[in-house]
Amino acid sequence: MNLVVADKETLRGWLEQPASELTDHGSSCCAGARAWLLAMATSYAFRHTDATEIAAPTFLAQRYKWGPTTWPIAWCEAVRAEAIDCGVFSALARAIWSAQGVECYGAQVMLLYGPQTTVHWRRRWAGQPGSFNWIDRDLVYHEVVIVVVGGAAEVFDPSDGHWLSPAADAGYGAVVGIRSECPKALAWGRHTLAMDQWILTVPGISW
Amino acid sequence: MTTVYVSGLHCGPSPSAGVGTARAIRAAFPDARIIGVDYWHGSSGLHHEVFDALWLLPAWDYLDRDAHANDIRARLDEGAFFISTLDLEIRWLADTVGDHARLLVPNLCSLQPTLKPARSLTELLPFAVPETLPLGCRDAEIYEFCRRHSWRCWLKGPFHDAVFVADWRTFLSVRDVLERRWQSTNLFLQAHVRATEESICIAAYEGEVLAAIHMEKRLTTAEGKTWAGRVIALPDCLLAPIEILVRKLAWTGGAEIELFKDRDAKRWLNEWNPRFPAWVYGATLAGFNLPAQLLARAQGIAAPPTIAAGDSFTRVVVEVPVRREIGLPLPAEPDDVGFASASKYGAALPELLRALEARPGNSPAAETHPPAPFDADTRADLSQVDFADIKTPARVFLPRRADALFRRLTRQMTKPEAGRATPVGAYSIKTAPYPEYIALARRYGMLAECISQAEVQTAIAAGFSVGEIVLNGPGKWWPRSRIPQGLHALFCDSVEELHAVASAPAIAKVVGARLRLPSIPSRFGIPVDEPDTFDALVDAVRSLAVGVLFGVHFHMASSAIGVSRWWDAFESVLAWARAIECAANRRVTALDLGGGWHPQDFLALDIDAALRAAEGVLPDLRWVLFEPGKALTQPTMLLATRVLEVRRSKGRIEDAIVDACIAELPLANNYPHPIWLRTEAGEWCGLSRGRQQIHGRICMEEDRIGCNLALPETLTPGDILLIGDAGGYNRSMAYEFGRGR
Repeated sequence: MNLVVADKETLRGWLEQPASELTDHGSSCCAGARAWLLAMATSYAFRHTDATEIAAPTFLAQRYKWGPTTWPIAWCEAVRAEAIDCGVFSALARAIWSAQGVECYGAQVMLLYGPQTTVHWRRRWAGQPGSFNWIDRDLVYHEVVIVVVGGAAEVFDPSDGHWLSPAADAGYGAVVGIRSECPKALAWGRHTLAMDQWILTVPGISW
Repeated sequence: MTTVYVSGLHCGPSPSAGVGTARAIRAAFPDARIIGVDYWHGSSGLHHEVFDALWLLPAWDYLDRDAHANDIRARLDEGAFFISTLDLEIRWLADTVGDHARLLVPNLCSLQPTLKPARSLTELLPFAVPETLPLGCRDAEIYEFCRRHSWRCWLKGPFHDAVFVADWRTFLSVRDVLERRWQSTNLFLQAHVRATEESICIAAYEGEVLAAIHMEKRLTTAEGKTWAGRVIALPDCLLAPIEILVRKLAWTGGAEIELFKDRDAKRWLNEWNPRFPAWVYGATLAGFNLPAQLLARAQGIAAPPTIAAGDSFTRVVVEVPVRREIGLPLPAEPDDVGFASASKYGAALPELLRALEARPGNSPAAETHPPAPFDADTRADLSQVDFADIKTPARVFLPRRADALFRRLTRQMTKPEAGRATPVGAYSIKTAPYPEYIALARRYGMLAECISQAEVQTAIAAGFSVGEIVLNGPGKWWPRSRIPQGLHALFCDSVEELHAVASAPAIAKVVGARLRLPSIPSRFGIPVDEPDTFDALVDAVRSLAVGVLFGVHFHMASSAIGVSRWWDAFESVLAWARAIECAANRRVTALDLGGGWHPQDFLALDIDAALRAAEGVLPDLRWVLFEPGKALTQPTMLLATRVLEVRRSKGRIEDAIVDACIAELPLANNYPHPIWLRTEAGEWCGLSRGRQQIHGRICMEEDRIGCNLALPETLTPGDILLIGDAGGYNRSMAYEFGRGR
């Protein structure tokens, strides 16, 4: 594979973009929104029924559509939105897991989709005030969450409600690059994720 | 030239593996003569071009099985190979044809440990095994299993069929269907595992693993069948134990090990199928040709190399021309929905199973057990009843048993030494609004939980003070009367009600909200699954007078949602209570945990753990109200009924009509009811599982009092039966019907 990101400016933006954070009005509106979200997450955790240690907040993908978000966005606005982008999904998922005592970090991935798809997303996001330029020709920038399980990384995509596979490095939506915000190096499949470094998961890729 | 017979050719939505196996063989041995074998001329794979010839046989119940066995043996002796992909045929081949170097299926000894649920295999494999329960157990044990697994259970047949059962009514009907289909009691329940599915497939010859692969299902059909998957060589950590097991089993043939992988990456054994899977050609595309490896090894030659086209496969639906010499089945007559003829297994496979099980030493029928004998209290209570003159149908209250149960259940609710919150028992008047029960509730210091003003009046008339009453429900003000003041607690079912109650602060010491939890469907309580509805609740809580204590109530029958799910709901309600505290700046001082308990589950409830969890989340909590609900009343009443008629067919008892009906036992099919027959000597003999039914006296199709029972051939009109667990809602929800008034 030999991909080239066409727009260097776009790529630079991705490389420098930190994981998205919601703002907080510092009043009861956002406190209530946080409390509501955490209670919702508990309602969908099924810890006893499933007897699993980590319950992924898959309800987020069922409850919210994926779509443009105007940034900055506060907690009280985010929980009420019909559609949220991957940055909001990631922020909500991290807040839930952190409250449940699960070690998790923001992470970003580059996904391979191709121009037949990205052209549509570009149109949908066109003119969206305050939105981050996340779409290039073949690749898109996407925010996910890293959960530390037994010293290794597991990567959850809260926008889709799926765990990403480190082996799925080809095909539609394949992860071709990943950056972790975890302060320690973590294995993710055959990859080693170091803090704030983009790791290319596909041999031969360049830009 | 190599000749291979491959059986099991149907390629419907739940396909057999014959076509895939044949295609894999063809890929490695282009010159092989491959003969497709099937027992139904509707099997679509008969028309696939991979087959050089066909051996189409009559269905199993029209087949001369001895002649068929001889035919197969003769062809094997002539040098042909036979690979079956039909589980029951494999067992029949092992049993009838026996060991033969060219019969590439496991022998009977190999097969025995792999019969479902195959628990013993996990002693050697690094997999957990979902809990299972044979259906020969008592209904009470089955019911307990389902509750314990939160009604997420699969009822599975001995070879095929797995149906999800989410309630007792479904269980009864599925058990009936499967037992009739398989004519076998060797069915079992298996706990559901929330997981993704994967498979291991092996080819083995005389205990040697020739090839082993791992397949991760990526797409499945609505029936859960593989549609697309990713295939890799089996990792060493899994290969090593499988090699040991295969050697121990001396396995020959293909095998598919179906696994679940849960979120903690723990693998669970679902089934061991004694054949290649239907997707085996998909593995060939990924570079792993297992049927070719098996065939090559059986011939003592090296398997030709397989070229991988990728690591994944998917299925596509394609049309193929029909072979003129086979043709198609005639169209089904309108409304003729034959399950069996359309399935890959054919109508006669259950018949084949019966024939195999009938052989000496093969799978003895599951043992069935009668209900447990009466305990001493019940025997003493029954000794006070004159059954000779009893006017049936009649309810038989068990005073000693009821007293013992109230004592036991309320003793559970003693305050732990170090705890801050006090557990309080509340008797739900609606479950049994009768003096004998209400008196027991008072005697054992319980509060009265009411859902209407009528029930409030009943409680007050029975001696409860207003301050000992908890008021709940959506219609708690009916019928309109003077509203009592100073209730112990009042829980509102809507935001509107909460606002209205806020203007009357003297109405109750504790005013609270019943919550409708997001993940549990219910029509009751205040929904919180939208930020705006949650905010509305928070606003209403803020409007409560300062001197009024605030509480939270949730009510979800643990017998319906299961015990583990009840704990999930309990944790959820704590989270919502905490969220309300944070948002409304109002402390939660009382929790009311609604009823719906089976007595066994309430007795096992770890009340200390619940209190500790609640106190950990809600620091100002003072009371936790536990409502045992029907746990107190259901088992303490029996229904006596007389046999009106005994019906026979072909000289054997088929069913019986009794003088009780679902008007007296409205929950007859909602949970199990043990039944005892009074003998001539006045003893009580529990009825075991069987094939007979007990029907009620009224003209309603669903008036079935007992099903799958073994009625004794001596049963006679006038005999008395006692139906257990007939108290609680079976009494309070009983109705007048067919009584001529």
